[in-house]
Amino acid sequence: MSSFIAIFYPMNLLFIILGVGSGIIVGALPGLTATMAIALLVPFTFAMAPIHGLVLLGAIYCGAIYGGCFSAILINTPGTPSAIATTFDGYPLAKKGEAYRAIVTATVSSVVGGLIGVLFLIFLSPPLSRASLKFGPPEFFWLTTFGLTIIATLASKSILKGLIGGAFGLLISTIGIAPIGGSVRFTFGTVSLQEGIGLIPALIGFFCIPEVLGMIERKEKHYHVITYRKQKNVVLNVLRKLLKKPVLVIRSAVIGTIVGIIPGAGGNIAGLVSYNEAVRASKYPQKFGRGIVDGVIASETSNNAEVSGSLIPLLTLGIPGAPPAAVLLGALLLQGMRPGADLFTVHAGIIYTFIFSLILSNLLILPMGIYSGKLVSKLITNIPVAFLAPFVVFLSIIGSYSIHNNIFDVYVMLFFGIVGYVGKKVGFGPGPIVLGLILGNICEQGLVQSILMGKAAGSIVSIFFTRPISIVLIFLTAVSACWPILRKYLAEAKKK
Amino acid sequence: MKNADRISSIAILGLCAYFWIESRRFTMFGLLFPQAVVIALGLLALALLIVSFFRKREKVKALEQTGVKYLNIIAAGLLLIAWTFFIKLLGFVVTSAVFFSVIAIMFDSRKKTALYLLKKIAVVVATVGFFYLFFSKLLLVPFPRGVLF
Repeated sequence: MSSFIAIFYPMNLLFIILGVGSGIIVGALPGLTATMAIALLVPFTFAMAPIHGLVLLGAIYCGAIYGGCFSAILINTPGTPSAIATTFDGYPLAKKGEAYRAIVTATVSSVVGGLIGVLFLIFLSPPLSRASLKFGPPEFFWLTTFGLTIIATLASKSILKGLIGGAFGLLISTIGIAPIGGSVRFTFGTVSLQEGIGLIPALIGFFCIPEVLGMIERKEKHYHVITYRKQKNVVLNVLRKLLKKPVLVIRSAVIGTIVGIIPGAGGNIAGLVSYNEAVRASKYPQKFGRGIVDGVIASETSNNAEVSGSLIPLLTLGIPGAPPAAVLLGALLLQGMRPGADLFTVHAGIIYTFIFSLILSNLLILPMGIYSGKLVSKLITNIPVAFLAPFVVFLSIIGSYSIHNNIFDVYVMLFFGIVGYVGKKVGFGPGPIVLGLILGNICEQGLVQSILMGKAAGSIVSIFFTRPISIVLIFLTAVSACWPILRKYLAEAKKK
Repeated sequence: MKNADRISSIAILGLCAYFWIESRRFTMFGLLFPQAVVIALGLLALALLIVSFFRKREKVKALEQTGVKYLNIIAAGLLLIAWTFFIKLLGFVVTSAVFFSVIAIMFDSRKKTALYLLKKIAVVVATVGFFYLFFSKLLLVPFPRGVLF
């Protein structure tokens, strides 16, 4: 109860309002993503009280995922990847002169989806975190392996490239002093590398610099924003419409939450899967894609539910469900909080306040989204990309420097930024690499400790392959690794 | 993409060879994980290389057809490198004002009149100045320092 009351403390309220507002703006501007916004802000939260920092980042996450709907509806360009499916019906609605109705529908759906997602987070996280107490080194080894295979399958067009990305991330995580054995590894004679690759500079590099270079690539793009006027009673009408479609809303929210829980599958996948299911279940599928509110409801309910879904594996097991959650993991570690059972016991006050703050963040989207629409559409047209790109670089340099006051971190950020851009161009997405980098340490400790346990017990094989949780995780790893082949086989079988 | 796959897989194999050689001087527990990862990465890169020889020929668009101006990207990349390396020399605020202005002007497709340039530089200097004061004085975030500030 005290955690719930804490969200109404003036400073927490201020950070929630600031976070949702700035998140909406970031999400609405094409080229700026939720991941980038959180990555840029994590270093600045280091100096804040842990709860203020987490509340701010959570509010930005919610606001940015919602904000993507503005550009999806008004200029047919998703502001964040999560809003891809919103363009399918949002933009046709806007072209028909119903832009305001589309925005209100997206807003109300986002709020409802976000709230349902938080409910799942509240009720699923504590039992899952208790279950994590049963995890020993072999289970953590298999869990990280499962996380890497699933992100490789879902976040990349090619599973081979996804796996290479994940393994590359694991390899760069080995730079620095070994957690067991104490060897100084791959430092190239550089003292600054003895502590290992800084997670935050690497995250900023991988998620911000490729976007900056991408903006410069697309610099000629001029957006034509559809203008709209506010109409009376639209909010009430949309609410009534949503109440008449409980199955669509709940199904989309559940899909969003489940997709969020799966490591690596972000809001874009949640939106697309949910949209696809809405079309399949609809009595009038032919109307989809031509401007129907059901399409907007499905996409927006799902992508905001995915926000809390992605936090479930993060807070309970330390495996991020989506790229922005991976950056949030960096924020947690920076504040000295390790995900798992400890988070819900030792840091229970902070974590429950953070979770409850997501309720308020989602509720605030309703007034802030509806009333800031005009301002946001002006920003989309008036901020030139040529200004935005160096501004992101400017913040990236401050962010990566400020953690250790070390210019070397800026070089690390830039190096991984360029690696990330080149990698993206040849098909290696940043998601698997970053997950590999984050999970590397857990995976290594799991592997080495398990081998030591196995040697002591007289059988290394039995330690890895006979424990019940490990067997389940091995099965899931095998299924996720073979999923592209299985999917192809199932699709062919269905055709026959 | 076939050539890109071949080049990237060969580069990764080279990286694996380097990391493998380096790892041989680590302690037993220090080399276990890196060597396992190097083997996995090497096998995956080898698989990518083999697959690239058997994949059907793809129609690759000429660079100019993709609409991406690679010279712009190379110029932007070099500017970013110069930005970070000049920080130690000139200080973060001065370097940022200079490189922020250069990038903002260089990659803006609008006609560059004297008034436009003045306006743009004024906006950049005001932005850098505002954020410098906001972060360093209000949030007490440290900034990289050089000969200037």
